[in-house]
Amino acid sequence: MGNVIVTGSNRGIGKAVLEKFAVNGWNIWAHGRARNEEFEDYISGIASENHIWIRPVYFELGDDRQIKSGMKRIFDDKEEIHVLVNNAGMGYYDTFQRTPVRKARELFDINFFAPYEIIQLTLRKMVLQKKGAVINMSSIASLDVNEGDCVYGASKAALNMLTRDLAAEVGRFGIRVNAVAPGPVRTDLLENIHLKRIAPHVMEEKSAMGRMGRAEEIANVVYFLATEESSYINGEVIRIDGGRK
Amino acid sequence: MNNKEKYVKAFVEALNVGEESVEQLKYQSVEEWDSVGHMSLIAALEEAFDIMMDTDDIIELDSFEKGMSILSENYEIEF
Ligand SMILES: NC(=O)c1ccc[n+]([C@@H]2O[C@H](COP(=O)([O-])OP(=O)(O)OC[C@H]3O[C@@H](n4cnc5c(N)ncnc54)[C@H](OP(=O)(O)O)[C@@H]3O)[C@@H](O)[C@H]2O)c1
Repeated sequence: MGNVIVTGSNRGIGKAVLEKFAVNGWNIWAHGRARNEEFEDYISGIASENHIWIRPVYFELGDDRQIKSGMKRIFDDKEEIHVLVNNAGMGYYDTFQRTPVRKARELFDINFFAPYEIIQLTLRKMVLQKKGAVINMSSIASLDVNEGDCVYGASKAALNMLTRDLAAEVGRFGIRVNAVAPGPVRTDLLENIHLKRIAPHVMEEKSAMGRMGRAEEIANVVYFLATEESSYINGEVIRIDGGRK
Repeated sequence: MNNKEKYVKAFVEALNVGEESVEQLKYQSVEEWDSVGHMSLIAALEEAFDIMMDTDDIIELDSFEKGMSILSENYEIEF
């Protein structure tokens, strides 16, 4: 048990990650984009149920200054930071020729440069502690070929390489860096981007298990990578997709 | 502890070097201050002065002396 930062924890996979850490007795800095009372009520409920603290932290990932001031607020708590889960991200689907560079930059800002900056800041604490774990939320779109996933896939593939190379740099400080690459999980992101153009069964049929993943199934692996149970796993990108066919 | 003492202490502890040698130190002039030692040093300085350094400053901090001028010019730390 320890202290963890989870970005994008107000819904979807991030919320399942937050719950997984909470029920296991971890203290949490719960990041969201903007202040949200319903979310604050929710986290104060699970914090008291599990005898932990959960502190909301809000910042927009596309804004460098907001990232810095948000992280400073976390550092001002003067607690150790044992784990960072870079979950927040944005989805996108369109062909290359229909994707302006401006859009590609936005995706890279949110899916790559924001976690980049958050990791860079957090590592300075972890280096002093001589321990820590970073878990990045990638996607199977970074590993498999799919028409329409050029830019989203590339932004997550960049995150994969950051994960692998960074692990090589910071392993000597007792810090592990890993990523998980989920297949489709039925969240708002999937509903808004993919399920508007294709039927769920088309996605389900691509999985060897004939179904989509559940957010909890992703959270379980994230949690495993955060704990000593995975103490010799480093620099990996782990698929969680039920097997593809 | 005054700021200069804190500054020296960060070097001594992060780089594992003797107090008497810190003033002459330059990045990569000793084995201890390599790219890995640099990360520990920045972390120690941030902790000691309760600041968050910009990446540009981190790259520019390449000697004991330069570090003092960066901290005083950009982070209002007086020596
Ligand atoms: N669902 C899938 O099938 C799937 C598959 C593979 C990988 N993933 C990855 O899993 C992660 C979570 O996805 P999800 O499906 O749970 O998505 P989601 O339901 O859309 O949630 C995304 C989370 O990220 C936050 N976020 C997005 N853009 C942000 C920004 N610019 N600034 C601050 N916060 C921002 C959102 O905050 P708001 O609530 O304020 O928008 C929300 O908390 C993402 O990195 C995604 O790429 C998802």
